[in-house]
Amino acid sequence: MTNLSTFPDAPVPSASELRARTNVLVQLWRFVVLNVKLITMVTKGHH
Amino acid sequence: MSRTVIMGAGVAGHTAALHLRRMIGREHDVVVIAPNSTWNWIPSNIWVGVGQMDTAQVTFPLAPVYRRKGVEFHQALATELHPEGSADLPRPHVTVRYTDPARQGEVGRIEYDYLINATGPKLNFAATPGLGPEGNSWSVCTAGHAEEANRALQEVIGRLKRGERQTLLIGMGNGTCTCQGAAFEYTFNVEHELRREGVRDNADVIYITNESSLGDFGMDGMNFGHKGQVVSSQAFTESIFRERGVKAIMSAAVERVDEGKVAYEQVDGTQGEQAFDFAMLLPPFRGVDLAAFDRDGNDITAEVFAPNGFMKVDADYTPKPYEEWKASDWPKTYQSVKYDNVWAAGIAFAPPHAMSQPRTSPNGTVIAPAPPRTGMPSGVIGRAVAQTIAERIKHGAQGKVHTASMAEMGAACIAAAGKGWRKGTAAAMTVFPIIPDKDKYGASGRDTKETYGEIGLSAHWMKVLLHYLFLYKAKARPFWYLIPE
Repeated sequence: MTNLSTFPDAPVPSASELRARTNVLVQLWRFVVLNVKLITMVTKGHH
Repeated sequence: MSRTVIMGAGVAGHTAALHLRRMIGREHDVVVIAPNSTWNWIPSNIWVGVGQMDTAQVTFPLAPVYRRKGVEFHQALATELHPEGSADLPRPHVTVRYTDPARQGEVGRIEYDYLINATGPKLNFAATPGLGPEGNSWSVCTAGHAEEANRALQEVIGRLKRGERQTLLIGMGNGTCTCQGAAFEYTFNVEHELRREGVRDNADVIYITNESSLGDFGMDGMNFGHKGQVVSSQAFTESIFRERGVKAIMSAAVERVDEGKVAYEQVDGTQGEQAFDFAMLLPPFRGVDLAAFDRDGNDITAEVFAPNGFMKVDADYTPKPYEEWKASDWPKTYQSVKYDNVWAAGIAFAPPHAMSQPRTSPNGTVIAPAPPRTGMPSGVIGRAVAQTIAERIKHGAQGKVHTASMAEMGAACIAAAGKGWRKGTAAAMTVFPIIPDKDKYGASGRDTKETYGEIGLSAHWMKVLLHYLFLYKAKARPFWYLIPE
């Protein structure tokens, strides 16, 4: 017997969100944002 | 002149060795003892495990780097610690057994003034009968394991192409495992490969975990900023599972891995079985097999190491209920409780407690994700310990003691979910601080501005960037030290 969860109530991304996740221009901007966030966090954590 | 010995050449040990070598003069010795001849960027083993990289792309030989930097390297396994020396060798020393093919099996003793234990984990496949590459499941914990897993995966893909239905089971091989993030990554990389090969419809992909909810990641979950909202990591992660059609067995302790079938128990006492055609199940970790002795030869292992084999350091190990766990319980300097010239960096230190609430089934089975031990804190701790030792060498007892509490640092987890410059994807998650601090940040225990999650191609690019950046740094190429841990 197996007790599998399928998460039927979990939110799913909209079509526009899925497009944004693969759009190169949008993702280039997110890449910059992600870099800034990581650098900020790394800086805070180094003593 | 001083002699610092570093046991282990993973993220923590290698980082400590390179920084210490840079910070002190060549009249001081920096010595590394490691059983493997290569360094491995473990986060990219996931890609080896799906055939998107090979071992040579995630490893490199250590000896040439250490030769170039002036670090003495012994390819050997540390077996005994003698922090007070012994009757015939009064200086503190480590007993080793060489794994170097030129000295295979030879036993040696390496003296030290300062010692960093960065031995990492022992992959404890023995905790679950049938678990691991020598049993009935695969692993991606080492590059070699990942290559084996990929070969098995390609056979499954071949059968899927012939129209056979296949079940792929990925996750935790024991109720006390950590590294849920790695299992999550492998799950979605496999799922991505199945789609890329056009065989996804015939495959059932199942994730089995000891987490009480998805997104726990052994860190008690987190709330993070996501597109202007505060979202739980549970909702964030469940969304990915639903979108990609991956099912999960939650709150499970795998009790046995038979050929083509696992037996597990869930926290409510439910006993279950799951058949599989391919299983990649991670082992729990414990400290490496290292015994400690005092000057008279008495075994003091229990004073130096916790029962799980990890080294006891400046943490509060007082047993207390989950509700009383504090961020301040976690270590800051990583100095041994017993010897002030010994430190444990990275995975080698004993955590004072878990982060996720431990649970026990009615039958007494412990289902408790252990705290995650990722590369980022390991590197930061390795560097802090190296800085402390450098200060001690230069200024004696007056030297500054550097700290690197996991309750004061963040970590990033870039969980790959498919490789490709245009079609790749990953979930980028940052958490600050790693150890929840409810006194400082309220009920969530974390700064929701710094704790963040995002899915997309950009996160995949970040994962690729980190792969090349950290290999460059580990190879000690020019200006390597400017790349933060």
